[in-house]
Parts: sequence; structure tokens; C-alpha cells
Amino acid sequence: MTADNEVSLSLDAGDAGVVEAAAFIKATDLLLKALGAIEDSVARSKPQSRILNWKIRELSYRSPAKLCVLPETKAAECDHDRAEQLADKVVTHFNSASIYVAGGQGSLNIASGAAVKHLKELSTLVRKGGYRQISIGSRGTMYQIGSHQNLEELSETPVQRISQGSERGVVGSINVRSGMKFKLFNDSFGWIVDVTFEEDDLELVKKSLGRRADVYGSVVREPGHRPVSLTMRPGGLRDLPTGPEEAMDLDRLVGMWADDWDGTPAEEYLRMVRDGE
Amino acid sequence: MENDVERRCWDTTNLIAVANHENDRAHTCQRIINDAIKHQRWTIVMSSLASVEFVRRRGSAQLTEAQVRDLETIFKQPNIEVKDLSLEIADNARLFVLKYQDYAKLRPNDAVHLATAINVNASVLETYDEELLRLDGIADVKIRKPEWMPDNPRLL
Repeated sequence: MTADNEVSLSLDAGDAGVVEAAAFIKATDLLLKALGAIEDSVARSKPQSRILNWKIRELSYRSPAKLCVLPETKAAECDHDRAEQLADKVVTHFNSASIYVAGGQGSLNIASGAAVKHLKELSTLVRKGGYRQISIGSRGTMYQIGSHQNLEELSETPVQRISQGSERGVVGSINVRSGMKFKLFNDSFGWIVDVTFEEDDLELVKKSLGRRADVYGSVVREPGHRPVSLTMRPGGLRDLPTGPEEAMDLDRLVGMWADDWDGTPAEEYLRMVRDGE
Repeated sequence: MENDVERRCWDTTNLIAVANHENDRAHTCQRIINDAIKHQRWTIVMSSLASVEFVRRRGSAQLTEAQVRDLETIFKQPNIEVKDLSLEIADNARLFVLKYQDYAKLRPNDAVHLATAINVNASVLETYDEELLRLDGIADVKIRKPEWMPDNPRLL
């Protein structure tokens, strides 16, 4: 694992000069909870399935007491590249969450939002524990937390946007027990979108199980465009080609209308199309 | 887990270059599409506006039914993502027309492609449109003409 992904925590006891063991353990616990919550969110896994383990790289007990941890994979058989990518994403989201909690700046997505609850709790050590400063950070940059005036009011959930649109993916995991739902797996981006649909469309959805489809309706997105959930409009599901017989022969596209082409460059051609010429 | 597949946003000029068989342009774009669909090297994201603009000029000969079917099919291929023109994208597009008026004659349709690229966090917006290309280094996304590189350049 790359050393770039180190995560640090620092507790400054101020004039007292002594950091209580209980406070340090509590702060460490909250830091690891924040990192674990991000991993669960990014990997869409449960806590017991986590593959990242945070190993101590640096530890000092004199005020400011400092802990520096680095991610490692738990399981030896775990795919190394996947773990490396996961660690990179976890630290990136941790960084976003740190900036957010430190100054109320930036925006959250689902992954960074998962850490905010724990980081806000960490900041209470400053106010209630009498510490002058607690800083968290990653990749060499530290952010002081606890000084933000309206910390309590900081939302722990990302601002989501709702718009009419569509998402593309493979239809899977139909659930009819608690409302009509299925999961849409977008292979290109690795997104999994929770889709809610009406009972009348159950047969339509069942026919599309395991197939690529466009799903139309009201899409909830987090900042950064990632779709989270979708309420399918009635009949709003259209299958896409899956088999080779339905796939397009690209060669047929090349020169498809070259018979009518007079050498006009594409950009000028498009202008003429737009102008109705 | 979210994938790290590169998202390359395209405007309509690239498709027209292919359909018109514009010398090197068609070849480059064909390779990019090919690597998206067959080898999953990247995802090509296009605004749904592209499916409207990808038509023959007025007065041109009619396409056959098979050709029309092929045109419709291109937007349904794996690793070709069509992003609907949402109000969010439209709002940004409108802002871009004004924001970049000192740098380029950005028309509303061009602005939609630019807003789509930024909205999906594309690594690049590829186009042959000169006005859009003027905004490279100014807009919040890299803008260039379509470029294809082999998976392993050392094999060249």
C-alpha cells in the first residue's frame, strides 16, 4: 500500500501538556469508525467484510499526541489492486469529510458523509475534554476541527438533487417484500441504483431481470452526479441490446451517409443541420 | 465499488465525422468507439441531444430502415452512456453561454454538450467544434479533438 494514503490524528492538550489515555483512545476509536464507515460506503460492504486494516505508522504520546495510520489489506488473498484503489478512495473521501467538518466548506457525497457523524463527535473532545486543538488529516495536510461555529448544524447527509431522467444498467435483485424495488447495476461506472416501481410493472421488471435496460423516472443524485435512487415512472423500463445479434456492426456506421457528403467538415455540417439547411 | 473507467464525453461532430467518413477523423473516432464497446477501455458519454443532432442535412436522400435502426442502436451499446438533458444540465448550459461569451461563440447546443461533460465528471470533452475547442483551459473540463492511443504505446 502506498505511503501517500496515511491518515493522521493529533491532540493538543495546550498548557496542561498531558493527553489523557481515555481521550486518546476515544479519538482513535472515532477516527477508525470514520474510516470504516467510508469503506463500507465505498465498497458497499458490511463492517464484517471490510478488507482494509489500519496499521500504526507513527505514534507519539507527548502533547500534541499524534497517531498516524496506513491502510493494509486484511486478507492475503485479497486482490491487491482492488485494495489499493479502495484505500485511495477511502482516504480521498476522508479528506473531503475533514475539510467539511473543519470549516463547513465543500460538499459531501454518500461516502464522505458516512464519516461526518464520527468526526463531529471527535470535535466534542475539544469542547468538553479541554483540549486546545484536535487535527485530522491525510496525505500531509492537517485540518483543525472543533472550531467551526455551527458544527451542530452541519448536515451529516449529502445534499441530493432530484431530477427527471434515466439511468442505464443491468436489472437485478427484485424485492417485492417491502414495496416494489430492484437494483440497477451500472457496469460502466460501478453504480448501484435502488429503483422503486409500481406493482403494475412487476411483470415488465421480471422480464428484464438480468438484462441491460434504460430506466426512466425521478432520479435522486448526490453531488458529483452519482445516482442514488430512482422512482420509475409507469412503464418506464426499456431493454437494451445484449446479444451479439443485437449489437451494432460499427463498420456500418463508418461512411453511413458518405454518399451524400460533399466534403464539408463535421463541425460545419452540424451547423447546417442546426440551421435547418 | 465505483469504477475508475475513464469517461470521455463526445459531442455530435465526432459521430458525423464517422458517418461522413471524414478521412483520419472517422478512423480515429471509430477506434475510440470500438475500444469503448468491445474492450471497455473507457465509456463514451453523450448528451441525448446528440441523438437529435445526428441526422442528415435537409434535402439529403432518405436513409434506409436498416440505417435508421443502426443509428438508434449506437446509443444503446455497452459503454455508450446517454445523459438526458436534465434541468440541472440545462441551467449550467445557459450560464456557460454567458460566462464564456468573451472566449467563444458558444451556442446553446454547444453549451449543453459542455455542461454534460462537466456534469458527469468526464476526463475530457472531445469535439471537432472550433468554438468548443477555444474553451480548453478555460472551462472546467479538458477539451480537445478526439484522440486515440493504443493500450500499450510501446507496441507502436
